[in-house]
Amino acid sequence: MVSQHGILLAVAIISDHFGPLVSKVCRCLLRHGALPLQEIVRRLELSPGQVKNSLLVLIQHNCVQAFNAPRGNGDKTVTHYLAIFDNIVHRQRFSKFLSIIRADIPESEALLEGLLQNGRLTFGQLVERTISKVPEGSITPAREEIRMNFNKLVFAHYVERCPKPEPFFDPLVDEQSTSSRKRAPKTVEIALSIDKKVVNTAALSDAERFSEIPYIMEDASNANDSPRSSISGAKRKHNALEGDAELDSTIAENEVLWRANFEKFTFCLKKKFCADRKKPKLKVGTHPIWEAFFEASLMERDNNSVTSPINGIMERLGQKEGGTSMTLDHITRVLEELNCSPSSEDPDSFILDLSRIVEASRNEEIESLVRKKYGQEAFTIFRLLVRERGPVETDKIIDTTILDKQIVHGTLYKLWKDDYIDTERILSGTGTGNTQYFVWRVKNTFREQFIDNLCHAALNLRQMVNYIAELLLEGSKDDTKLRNRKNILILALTRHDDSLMLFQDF
Amino acid sequence: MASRGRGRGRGRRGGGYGFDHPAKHTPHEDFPDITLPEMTCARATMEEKALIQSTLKFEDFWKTSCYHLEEDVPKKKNDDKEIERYSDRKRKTHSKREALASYLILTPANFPVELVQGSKRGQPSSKKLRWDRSSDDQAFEVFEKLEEKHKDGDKKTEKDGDDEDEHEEEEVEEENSDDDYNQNIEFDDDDDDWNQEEEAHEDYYD
Repeated sequence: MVSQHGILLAVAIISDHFGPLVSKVCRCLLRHGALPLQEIVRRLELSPGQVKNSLLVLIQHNCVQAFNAPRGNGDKTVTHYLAIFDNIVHRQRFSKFLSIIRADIPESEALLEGLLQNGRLTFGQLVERTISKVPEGSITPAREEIRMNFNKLVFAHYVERCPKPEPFFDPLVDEQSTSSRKRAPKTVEIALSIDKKVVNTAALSDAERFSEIPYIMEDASNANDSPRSSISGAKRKHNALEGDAELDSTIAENEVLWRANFEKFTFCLKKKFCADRKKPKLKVGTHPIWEAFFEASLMERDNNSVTSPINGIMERLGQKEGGTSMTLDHITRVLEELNCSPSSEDPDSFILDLSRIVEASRNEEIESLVRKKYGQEAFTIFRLLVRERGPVETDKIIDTTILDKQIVHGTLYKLWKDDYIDTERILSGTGTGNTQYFVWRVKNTFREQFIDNLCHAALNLRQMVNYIAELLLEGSKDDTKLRNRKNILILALTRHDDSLMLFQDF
Repeated sequence: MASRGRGRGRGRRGGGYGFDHPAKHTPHEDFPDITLPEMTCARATMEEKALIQSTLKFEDFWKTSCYHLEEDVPKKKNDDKEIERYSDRKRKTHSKREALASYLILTPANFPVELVQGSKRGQPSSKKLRWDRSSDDQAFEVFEKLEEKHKDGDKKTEKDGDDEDEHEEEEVEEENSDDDYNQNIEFDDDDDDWNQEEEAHEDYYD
């Protein structure tokens, strides 16, 4: 499932953030799959206390999910610990997640930073942290203000309640009735890995996952309250049992753990990526419509499409240069040219399928690498094989690409040797004798190999950054120069991560 | 070169065959000047600069937080293994960390039972937690400065006119002023050292 360099990259991230002990436990889980505590202790020859602390840190930071699995034949169960590779790699994107909030809900940026730094926190801990960070002499924010900013994050699905600590899950049972119902489209398309099944089993229902912390109003008739607070106050009027409401609120504040919702942030980055990627290819004058479409998008229903109401699009266009002069017919026509079709659920909305943009971008990345590494001819041949999807004869390749026969043979051999393409010999029988044909196709695993290369590059960049950090720690006369290099490497790693996300998360 | 030529000439005189022409030396020409491409990958937008600062802040937090678990190495063995380097002083400031249990809500509702069982804390304490390590580091640095001055005083009484101490003191002050994420990020476009690395990057992931 996870490539070799992917594991090395994840282990390097954990080692940088949490030290050598935790990274050993993490590597053990990534290499051997889900393991019980005693098995981890046995393999690593560490003390149970050390392994327990490491697991606590990994669970706190959402890198490990525990679950109960049956042991042998009896009714006994044992707790297994599963490393979640995606969540580990997300750690090098936290600054991007934070920048999303900075643009969308800037007043909640500090709260999200606390959650990203500490993994999981109760609302009470967040309040305590916020207050302790206020410089002396400044005004301390009110608890209700913090609650309001926090609930904005929950409402927008940037923050969620944490999953169950150790749900029951039997790896041998394939039936996932609950999960299947929730994620029917995915189940039909892709066979879920055990990792995904465990994560789905542990996840709360959406209603529970994003239920906000209730407001407590001392004076329900206060006219200065915001509409949301008024609604809560009205609800409280009808609730004769004041104690129950107050108790629920206290529990929600001090015992329920919250964490960042990585799915939401990944989707936001996906939208941004697709919008930026396609922008250079747009016709003159259509940029504002393209931007307005993405800015007006509603709460998403799935992870592959963007839906925007026409009213929202026109409203956004009104704020852009030249937008007010566009007619509805013009906007509609441009949207359809951009592959935004009217939504079947809501006739007044337009929907765009992101899958095509993602797929095209992925092919561009790989073809770009082939071109740089093997030359233009190899790029032409490789692209032909990618589009054909099936086996292609050598003669057909020569005729289609209009390349010299010897060049084609040499290029095919290079690509085959480096595991980009596969070959197959076919014997054709005729009356007088046998003739041999060679057919070529793209190797099924070339995408996985490309992902491994991306992880390898990210790992190398991290090692270079750490090396320069060591030099800076030593102290030297060229501090400024070293710091500049370090920043450039971090910038390269940040940009490179876009490609990694394109293949792993989008 | 010349002697070899003469030897052959003598040996084959009868054949009328030999080397009697010296090698011609072409004057050296420098490699032609090349205009290097503009370094676009080193130029960061404002948004990217914010990303860099945010990344550095996150990583600095984790390295100094209670979540960073150290291997337990006996002090004696550590002393024997290697001589303590000057730069190790800076790492000592990380030796004291907040207790991990103080920051986790160790209840069966949040963590697996077998990990929570051994925990000494049954109830959350009212102890005030420190959520930001940087202020703590600064306090430690102040003590380090005082200690350094104290040592400096001792050495001066024993050895007068020792220049190394003053040099070290200057270095310490210089180091303390370097904060990775507080200082403005500046890219030096004239730095030739970037060229090679940049080209390597451009080759693979444009």
